[in-house]
Amino acid sequence: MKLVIDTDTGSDDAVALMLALGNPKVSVELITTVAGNVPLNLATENALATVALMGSKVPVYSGMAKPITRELHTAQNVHGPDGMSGAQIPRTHLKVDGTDGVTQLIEISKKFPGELTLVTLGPLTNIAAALLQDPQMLHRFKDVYMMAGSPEGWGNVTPSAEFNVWCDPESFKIVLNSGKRLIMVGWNISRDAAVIGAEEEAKIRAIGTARAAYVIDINETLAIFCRDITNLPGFDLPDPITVAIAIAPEMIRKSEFVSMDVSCSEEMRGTLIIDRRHTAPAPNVDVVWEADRDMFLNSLYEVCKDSSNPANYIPAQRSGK
Amino acid sequence: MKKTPIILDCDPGHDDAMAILLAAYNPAIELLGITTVSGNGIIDKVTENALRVCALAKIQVPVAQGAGNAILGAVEAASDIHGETALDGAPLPAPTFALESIHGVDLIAQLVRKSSEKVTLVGTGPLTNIALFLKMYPELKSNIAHIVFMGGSASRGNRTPYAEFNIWMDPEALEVVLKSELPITMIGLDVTHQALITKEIFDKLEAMNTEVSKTMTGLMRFFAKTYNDVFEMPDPPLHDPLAIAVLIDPTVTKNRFVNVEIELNGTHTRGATVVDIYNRTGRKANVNVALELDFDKFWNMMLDAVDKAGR
Repeated sequence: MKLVIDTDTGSDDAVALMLALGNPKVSVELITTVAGNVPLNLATENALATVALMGSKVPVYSGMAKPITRELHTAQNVHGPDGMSGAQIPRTHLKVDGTDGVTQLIEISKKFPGELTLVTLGPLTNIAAALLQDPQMLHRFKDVYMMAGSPEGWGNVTPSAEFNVWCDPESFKIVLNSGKRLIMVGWNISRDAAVIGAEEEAKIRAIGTARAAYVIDINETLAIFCRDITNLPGFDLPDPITVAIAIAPEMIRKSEFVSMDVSCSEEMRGTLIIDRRHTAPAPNVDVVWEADRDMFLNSLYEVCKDSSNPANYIPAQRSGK
Repeated sequence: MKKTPIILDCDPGHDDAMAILLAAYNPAIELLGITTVSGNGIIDKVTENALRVCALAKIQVPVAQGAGNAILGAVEAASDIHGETALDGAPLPAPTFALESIHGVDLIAQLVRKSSEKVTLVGTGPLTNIALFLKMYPELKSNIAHIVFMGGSASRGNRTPYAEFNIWMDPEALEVVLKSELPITMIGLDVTHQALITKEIFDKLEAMNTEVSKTMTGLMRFFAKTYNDVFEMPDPPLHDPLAIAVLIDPTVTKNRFVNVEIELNGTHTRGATVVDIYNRTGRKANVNVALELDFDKFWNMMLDAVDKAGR
């Protein structure tokens, strides 16, 4: 299958890229970066470092540096100032292929109409900017999976809003209004099916490869945030499970096709509004309500087993943790 | 004479058509290109109109089609004012050259990048393209001298009681423009409602007796009728050309440099410009707001441009 990934690479985005780039059944045709977890330049560097780690040659283009109408507020408190917990990520000769990521999204949709699956892992700014130029752009993608939102109303950046939607609610609204049937993998799925607790962390470490070490090292700051703020038994991987579901939709155990809107007001910024009344507008989003945790963990373990290390990643030194 | 390089982003539209003539036929302005945006009519119609006005007045500049929708959601054409074609009232010649193949936002970026001098962006429609340009090409912001827009009001509105049409169509776009911290001039209804096409002006237009002046007279007669029907204004206001006129001669309007914010929520007032004339909020001044017009100065330059365009 052919994937296009739009990412604000931070630490869990990097693991998501690994799941796609390390899967022999998947061809990643394009990666675009967007400001979100971290400013655009860091998102791009982190994506390039991960592409190098995986020995991939996928084109990487940067896109929008700020939300479509607002100023940028990052999640560097969640992922670390560099977005990667300060890990010594590969610094490579790899350079971004261009800064016109929005145009590239439109172009690739025209090159492979009906063939591509789009996975968005950050704020929807690039997609919204592309839609404002070309309203049919999303319709040329086969499927669109978004790591976005908290459909049951449990937020991480505010009590009721998930970061990717909160960061740029206007862009999310533009995407909701595009007319394309969208698939939402919200933060609820990450909490239910993608938490890496002590047992899973030990399992990943025990694999002993550079990839395995990278997964743990770059998410160290996220783990602290999950312990202190979001109250999870470990650190959760929202972006990776979104990519895993896009690659293997049979992981979805339960979903619901709903009519969804989003609040752009200050008080309820980024809060999702699901309308289940008879009078609701036409449904626009397949909300994933349950996903298979074991299938996700297996796909993560699987990608970590490859012992190649083309970018010579040096795992962080740890003091008897 | 030193010319001010501008890009005109418009939605022609009767008054936009006059703005195009003023931009192309005044020696103080260098018109680098024209981009279009949905507003007075939907995007296909206003783009066609821009090309037809160029054909009528023998203007040859790059023209590209821009955004068809506001940042948030669909647009509603002002056909009650501008008619079905968005430029009803007189036949216009077929286009004589083709549209640029790139999007309007990308044409703005291309022209700004190519210009050896800082460029002024003039918006006479909803500010969607200008906002997208600022967001998509932040590295080019330092090459922008000034943004002048026709829109907003320090008093009442025209699309809703307190919101002017261009801003009401895309309030988020004005929010982006205001946040840019570039020099901004607002040509709101306060001043455009002084640029009336009076009987004397109609007489002068008709006396020119050129192809261009005849066409413009026909268009303005239509505009006068809808303005009288909808707003009970017997002499219609020629809004958009003022956004060009202030660049030709800054003394054509009297302005105040004050704080302007845009109402994005509002139970009844979404899209209203909140103009703090007396600095009651203590917020920092950010927009040069035109409030008074030198009627004769404006019409002299406008009529001169229509005259030159017809020769």
